[in-house]
Amino acid sequence: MKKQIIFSLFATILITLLWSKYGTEPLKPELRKGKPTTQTRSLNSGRVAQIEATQFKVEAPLPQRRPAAEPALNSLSEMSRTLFAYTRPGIPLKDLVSYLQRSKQEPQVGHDRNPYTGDMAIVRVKTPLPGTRYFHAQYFADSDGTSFVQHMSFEYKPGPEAMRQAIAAVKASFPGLGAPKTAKPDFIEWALPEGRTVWIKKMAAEDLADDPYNAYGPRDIGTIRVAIESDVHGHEG
Amino acid sequence: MQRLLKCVLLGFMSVCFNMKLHAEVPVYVWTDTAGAQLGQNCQPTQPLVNGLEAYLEGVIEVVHLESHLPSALPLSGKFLQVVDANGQLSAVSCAGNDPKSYLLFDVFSPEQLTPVARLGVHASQIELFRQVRLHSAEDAEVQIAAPFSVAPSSRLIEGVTAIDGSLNQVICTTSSQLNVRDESLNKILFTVPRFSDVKVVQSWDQQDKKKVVNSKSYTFIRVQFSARPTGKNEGWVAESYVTVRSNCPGAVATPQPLPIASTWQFPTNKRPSSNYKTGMRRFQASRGGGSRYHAACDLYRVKDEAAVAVTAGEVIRDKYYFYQGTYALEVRHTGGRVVRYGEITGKKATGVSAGRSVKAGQTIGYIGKVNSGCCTPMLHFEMYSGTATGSLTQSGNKFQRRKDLLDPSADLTHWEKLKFGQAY
Repeated sequence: MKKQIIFSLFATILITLLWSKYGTEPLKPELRKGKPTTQTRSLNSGRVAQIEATQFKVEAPLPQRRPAAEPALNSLSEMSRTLFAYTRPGIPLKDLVSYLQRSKQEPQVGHDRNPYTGDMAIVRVKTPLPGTRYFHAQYFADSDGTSFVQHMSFEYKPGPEAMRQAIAAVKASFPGLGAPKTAKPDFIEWALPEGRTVWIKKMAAEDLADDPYNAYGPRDIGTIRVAIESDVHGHEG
Repeated sequence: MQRLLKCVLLGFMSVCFNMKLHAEVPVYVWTDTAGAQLGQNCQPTQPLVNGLEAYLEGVIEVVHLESHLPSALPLSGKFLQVVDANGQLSAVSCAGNDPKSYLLFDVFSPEQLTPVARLGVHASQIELFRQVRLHSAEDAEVQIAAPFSVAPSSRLIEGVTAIDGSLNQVICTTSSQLNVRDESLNKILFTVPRFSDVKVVQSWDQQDKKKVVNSKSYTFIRVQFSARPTGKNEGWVAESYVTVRSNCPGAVATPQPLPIASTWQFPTNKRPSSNYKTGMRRFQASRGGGSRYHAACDLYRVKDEAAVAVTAGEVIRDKYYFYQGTYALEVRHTGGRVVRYGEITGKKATGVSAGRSVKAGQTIGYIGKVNSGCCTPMLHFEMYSGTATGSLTQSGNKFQRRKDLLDPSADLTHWEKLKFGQAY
């Protein structure tokens, strides 16, 4: 009887300890092994990164910019996170516009439409964050009327460290980014889920020529463009 | 407007026909002396509608036409529908006939899926339509999109105030010219005409300047114009004179009528350097590790060479960012097909912009190269039948394209043979 009481007490303490640690959830293998819940797999092998939906809440304001010595770096970081947050499926255009208004970038929206190929909305900003410029987003409408981002990009000011800084910012902003699909000194590209791609380009004179939206001069060689797009072409092999 | 398969239920007879425009149809004009006669050397012109308003929407069934004229095109029992080009009426004037503006109608035979002819009718010839029956969508069970309606509005800009059109900007002044100043704002560098295309320069740290001109204070911004003969194309102008084109009265070009029938041709001026029906260049080639299909044929050529219109048509969407630093342009061609000319450079081809018509073989852009440098510069050629509406890029299928996407391989082969005498 005494042994039974001692065993019962011991079992109760053990159950209480386990309950306080894991609540009502069943024990997951990952937890037992101390692994993170987010499963990230290589995109290069054609598999898809699985990112917890709760990792980034669009409705929540983006983290405050720190008063760092280099405001351009903060802008780069913030705009990279913007690309990640507002290009995800199901995020409506108005959420992006609302964010751009909150961050005082003065967004403008153009609604280009025709009866044959439907609607395209273009979003640009009048007052970009310091060290960035020429934000540009293109939205199209799916057959059911739902909008999606076909292209979103911004530019970061040129400098000897600019490409490296942009790569670091994108890696930090896109959880689960695998190995790049293409990596060159002036260009890097990663595949994303849902047939999208994110790329960074150090712009040469050839890349700056004849842009229908942005004005460039020789002073702009070396400008960094960070873009996320529908992988409409996706050359491979 | 979407040209849907229309099914007309006329009493006990069910007639289905496709109102799709067709390029190779003869054009007739209605004359007061000889009825419908073949038009000679017809050219697009401005339409004149007076009195014909009642016949601009829906389908006209010509029940029986009481006419003693020896018409070359029998109209009794035919169906007519006004031709529209991007929501605009189409009209022609023809040599040899009265130099009138003839409003164009497509002529359909019962149970025929394509128009058999086009008929030009002048506004004064309303008598032609005696004993016709008009079918609206409601009273004749015609499944038809109204000819002049725009596509159903999407949820694209829900909750957002938007400017009509793209955000391209122009110089918008009441005077015919505007002074462009140097950085000090004291010296005038050059002048530009009203409605000039202009791009605002965004510097890394935004700066604008203020100056009092004629006792009025202006904010000046740095802008850039397209290349000018003198070399200088950048300077400072008052911000209040720079506005989005659609907000500038008089700056929006009047849409032109869709050109009439024309031949088709290969979209590059030289043969592609590789077979566009094999490898990764072919239509339906695997993409994304097998998760997607290629929606076009890739025509490998040389960067900056011309991409030309396959036939006459109208630019319905000017250049937009397409893929890795290249652009795309959308053209609706006569016959209703829509072509996306992709992976072109940003360089503007003369006379090519949204709403402008293009001729067969006209340069509409220049072959581009993607940032990754993965492959030879190319024209990414995507073609649609035009029987669906909405964005060309869509989800829901492995092409990630609109459902009326066509495999252009056979047509390209045909045009290649015609243009170069051989084909892959």
